Amino acid sequence: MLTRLKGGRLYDPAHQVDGATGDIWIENGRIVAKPANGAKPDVDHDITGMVVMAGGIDIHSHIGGGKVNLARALMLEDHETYKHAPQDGLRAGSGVATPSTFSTGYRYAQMGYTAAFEPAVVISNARHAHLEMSDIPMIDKGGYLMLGNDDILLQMLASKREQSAVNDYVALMVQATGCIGVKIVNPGGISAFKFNQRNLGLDEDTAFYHLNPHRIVQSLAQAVHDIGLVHPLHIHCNNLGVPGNFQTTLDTVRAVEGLPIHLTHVQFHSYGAEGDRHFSSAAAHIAEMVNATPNVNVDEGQSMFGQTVTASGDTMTQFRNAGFGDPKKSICMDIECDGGCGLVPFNYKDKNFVNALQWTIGLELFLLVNDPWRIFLTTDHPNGAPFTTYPHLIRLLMDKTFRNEKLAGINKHAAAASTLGSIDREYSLYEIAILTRAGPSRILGLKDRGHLGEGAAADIAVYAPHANAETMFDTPKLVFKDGELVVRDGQIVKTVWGATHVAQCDFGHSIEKEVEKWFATWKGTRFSNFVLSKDELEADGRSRWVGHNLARRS
Amino acid sequence: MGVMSPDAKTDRVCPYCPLHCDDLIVSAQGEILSGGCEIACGHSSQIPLLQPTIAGQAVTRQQAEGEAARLLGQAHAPLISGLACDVDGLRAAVAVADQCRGFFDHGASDGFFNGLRVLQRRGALLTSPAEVRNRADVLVVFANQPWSRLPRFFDRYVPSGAQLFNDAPANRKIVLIGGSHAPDPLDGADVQVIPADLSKAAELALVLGALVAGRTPAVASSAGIAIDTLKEIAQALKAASYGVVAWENGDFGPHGDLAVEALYDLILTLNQTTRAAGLPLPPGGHVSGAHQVGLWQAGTPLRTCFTAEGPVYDSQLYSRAKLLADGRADLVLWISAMPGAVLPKIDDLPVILLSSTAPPDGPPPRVYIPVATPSLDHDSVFFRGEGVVSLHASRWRSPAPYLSVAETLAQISNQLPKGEQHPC
Amino acid sequence: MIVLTQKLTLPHRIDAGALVPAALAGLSLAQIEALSLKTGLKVGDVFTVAKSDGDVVVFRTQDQAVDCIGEGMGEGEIRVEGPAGRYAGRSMSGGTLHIVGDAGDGAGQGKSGGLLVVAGKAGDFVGSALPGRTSGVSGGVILIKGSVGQRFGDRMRKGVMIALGDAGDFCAARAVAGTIWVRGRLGQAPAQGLKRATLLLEHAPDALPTFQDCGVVEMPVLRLLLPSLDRLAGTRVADSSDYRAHRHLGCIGVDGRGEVLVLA
Ligand code: SF4
Ligand SMILES: [Zn+2]
Repeated sequence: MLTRLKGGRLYDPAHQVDGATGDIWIENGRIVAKPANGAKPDVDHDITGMVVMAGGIDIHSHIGGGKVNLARALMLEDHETYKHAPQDGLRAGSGVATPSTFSTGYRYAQMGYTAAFEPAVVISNARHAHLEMSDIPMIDKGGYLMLGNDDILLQMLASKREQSAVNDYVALMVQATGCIGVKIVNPGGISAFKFNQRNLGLDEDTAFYHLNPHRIVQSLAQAVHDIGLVHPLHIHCNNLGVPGNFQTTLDTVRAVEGLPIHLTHVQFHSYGAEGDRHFSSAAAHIAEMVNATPNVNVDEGQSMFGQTVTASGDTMTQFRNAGFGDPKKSICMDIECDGGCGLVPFNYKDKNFVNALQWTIGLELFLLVNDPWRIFLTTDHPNGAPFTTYPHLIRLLMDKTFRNEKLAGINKHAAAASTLGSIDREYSLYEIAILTRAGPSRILGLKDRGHLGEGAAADIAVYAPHANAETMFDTPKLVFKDGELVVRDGQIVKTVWGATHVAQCDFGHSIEKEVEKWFATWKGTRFSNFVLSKDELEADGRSRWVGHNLARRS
Repeated sequence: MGVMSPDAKTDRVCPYCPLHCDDLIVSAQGEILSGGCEIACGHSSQIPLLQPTIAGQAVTRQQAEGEAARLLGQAHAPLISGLACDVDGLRAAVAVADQCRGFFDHGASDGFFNGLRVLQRRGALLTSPAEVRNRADVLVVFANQPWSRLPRFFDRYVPSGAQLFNDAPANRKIVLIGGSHAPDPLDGADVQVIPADLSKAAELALVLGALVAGRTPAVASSAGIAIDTLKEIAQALKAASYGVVAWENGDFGPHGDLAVEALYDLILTLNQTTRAAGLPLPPGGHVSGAHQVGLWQAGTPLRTCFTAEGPVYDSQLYSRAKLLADGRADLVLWISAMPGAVLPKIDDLPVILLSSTAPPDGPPPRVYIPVATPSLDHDSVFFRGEGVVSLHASRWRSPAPYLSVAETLAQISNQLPKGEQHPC
Repeated sequence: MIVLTQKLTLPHRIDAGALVPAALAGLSLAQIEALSLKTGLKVGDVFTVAKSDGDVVVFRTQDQAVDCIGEGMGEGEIRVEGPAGRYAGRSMSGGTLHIVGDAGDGAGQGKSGGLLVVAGKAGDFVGSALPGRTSGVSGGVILIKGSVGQRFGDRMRKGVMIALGDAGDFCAARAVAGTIWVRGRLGQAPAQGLKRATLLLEHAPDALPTFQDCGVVEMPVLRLLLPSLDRLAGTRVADSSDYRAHRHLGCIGVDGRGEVLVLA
């Protein structure tokens, strides 16, 4: 079937197309060239004057896995307030901060997003994460495996095993867990907390293994690079949320000595300790570093005001922050010699100095980082805010007047302490397309997503232009997933199932034997029953495993 | 035990209890050759001969499925329960509950809810099996006699031999409170068995918490344990590098949530100075799997009603037992493809039973459809009882002549009318 | 006055949560009958409706199949002439809910204000927390004239709860603050995990193992408390009191500073 989208204004930064009018042709789920034989389209959508972008790609969103499910159980009110019944072939669901899998897929598609990546897959919980992602309709998915607090790796590092062995181990685990990237969370800190260490700076050693976080990050960043993962090591730095932690963030960059890295939810890691309240913005320092350091990418982790829950692998931090819980409850868990997780409900209040300043810090970062290809639009869903706030966030970036109105409504001291009001920058539609589509696809190596070129998967969002960018991005006119029309005027018209993106890695046979033995001896379970396969993932008849072959760099 | 043959299959996952041991070796016929405990080996490897029935009369599978769909289509408020099956079966079961606007609860979730209620209102500080195995230097268990339902618990959680992080595993201290005797594999380890009345576990935990915090209650004993003994236990936990407090949710009675909450407070107090964490003993019947799947698909836990507005959760009102007692449900769909959720006696409602064994004695269910046993008859996924690790189970033997739960429910679901229904 | 008379046979339990005075005020008879209940039925399917002057809402019930009467009410008056099902007065924030018969489980759960009176007996979890909430009743008054079931006043945070009859097991568990007064006898294990609330009794409980016994002491605070409780409950306890009580402090298991007072 041949489909034409006629007369839209195309925003396709991967091909430097900035609002040019043109047609898009779709056949068999792909974007194709205009048929040379003059064939007429079977379906013609006249979208004259409308904004056309590739489907949105969320590079960091906690959408599935054990920790998300714990968060759902904890956030009862979220599910009492927001729920929907099954209708027209759609499934029932509930929640906004911690939506059910079906709600997650529907809502992403309704905003014109066609892919989202779960950034915190715990080794032993990988199958669970995939099971949940398999139940998220409408969008493509993928996961980043959390390493760097797993006892196998820490043992290897402590016993000074050669880098090639580390590389093999990382490659094996990425493959075995069906992930597409590697994340490190509070390097060494989650393990150290199990030994009753309560804080860990970059210049301290971890309890028991006596490893410096520098060394862990360095080795893992090297491994990620060497085995050929496109996405550089995804780093959640030490000292999340601690005033003055921007220094830790800068030190982390120094530690990797020029290796490519991705710093995640950098808003939470850009805090100074100045002022009466010993809490200040260090956004300028971090932005300056990013501008000057081409090997560094960041995603934002913008916080927004309202009720949400913080869900993290960082047990050390979450245990420390449990007292800030609102409502006052929390869950922490030590997990299987692999890592941990921690959940603390949180209510960001615009009249609270710290919360308000967090909001300004995030926006300052967005506006002070010059290269939109190296910063990505996230709220670290649900940690900073639910992903459903993206349209609002986009408006804050695109509309200075609106931004300053909002700034006037927050805590006075925070507003006064921030430079936000003096920043004139407004993001263009082209830059938004980079932030939310072209950039993420490039940094994840999704060659056929995030752009509108020939051969790309026809994941496409069509928006009616509107002076209010929030309105525009909240309710696309049309959304296509792999060429099928799935959303019209913000309503789901067809349920589809996206693919799961997985890195295909090579690794030596000896590491597999070693890990098998480790599992049997220390975990008391079999590696063979842990490994996830394409056949297993696809057995339900609707998941699709898309392998990305890696070229080993070393 | 049979003779090891060359076509024996290794690393098979056992479906018979929530430990889901995955080191079994089975013959081509599905007979356990190694790794099975007495429970596992007590199950016959023979494929049972079962016949679909309607009101006790033999029918074809298609007829039974058709009748099940007809009943579900007519029901205003069907209860989908039992839920002892693999993950794919559970995914299908939630879908049917959603489609029919029904209630969703596991057939043996009462104990589990003692823990979940506390997790939802207060939180939790938990650990998981491999951490216990490698880290715990003190393990205190509040349980009556769980070892008979979890035969390889000690072999899996606290095996004798080395621990990764405890230099002197021989000094690991195990205290069993409430248990009348220690299980055999523990002979030789430092095990202390202290009889106690666990209906008073909440008080016991509060007293321990007070002792850990340095406050001494003015009582000579609690739950039958002398205060001096309790002081020793408090001291051991406080001195531990990684103390683990384990408990059997189902042993604390109908208000056992108060006991779990008091244990949580004890754990929090311990963590002010050292590390400690909680470990509910794994519940049977794949409750952990039913909980996880229902939660991610609906956003709400077990005991959810799929109303006209969407999923509504009520841990008290929508329990299987209360729904049946209140007469709120008008049909029961019961799923029991593996042990742990036996169909209760239900006289006054039509029952559709999907089971891998014959229906229980007594009046026959309205519809009975035999189903395959997950793991034995088809590849499946289980959540181990702690709810963290899920395992892929490759099938043990050539397929049984029955469909899986997921396949059976798909057949039924395809025949359901898509109308408005109104339960609750 | 709007009178809703329960029809004899209901297909299943119904949820009357929507039928509070503020929602019914100004509606015609036909409009009320056409209102949808959460369970999908219409008001007219399950109640015979009559309407006269005034906004008081009266339920004439047959059995305990009508749940959630007065749920979320913030003002006005509801009278239940007959038994109420589960969750009567759940989440109410104001107004008066008067149940002339018995009330089921969960009456007054999550209540933040208003007056809930049950003339008969009441079930379990009266005035407790809504599922998953950190605390229970946070305001207003609950008065049960008969006996009450288990977990009375569970994790209460503020306000007054009174049972003139007996109260079941685990009364006042985890109560954070507020006053719970039980005139009859208590079941087992009262006041476990008490934080700062007051449990006032007339009969000594079996045991309080996690409380510190302070003996019988002069309690000046009773001079204010007892008359005000008398006013709420229509009793005359203050008359015969010498304002002394056997005082127990705890619960020491949670570093609590609550008190259990047994009138001397
Ligand atoms: S302990 Fe449980 S899982 Fe292990 S073999 Fe026995 S029944 Fe099977
Ligand atoms: Zn994150």
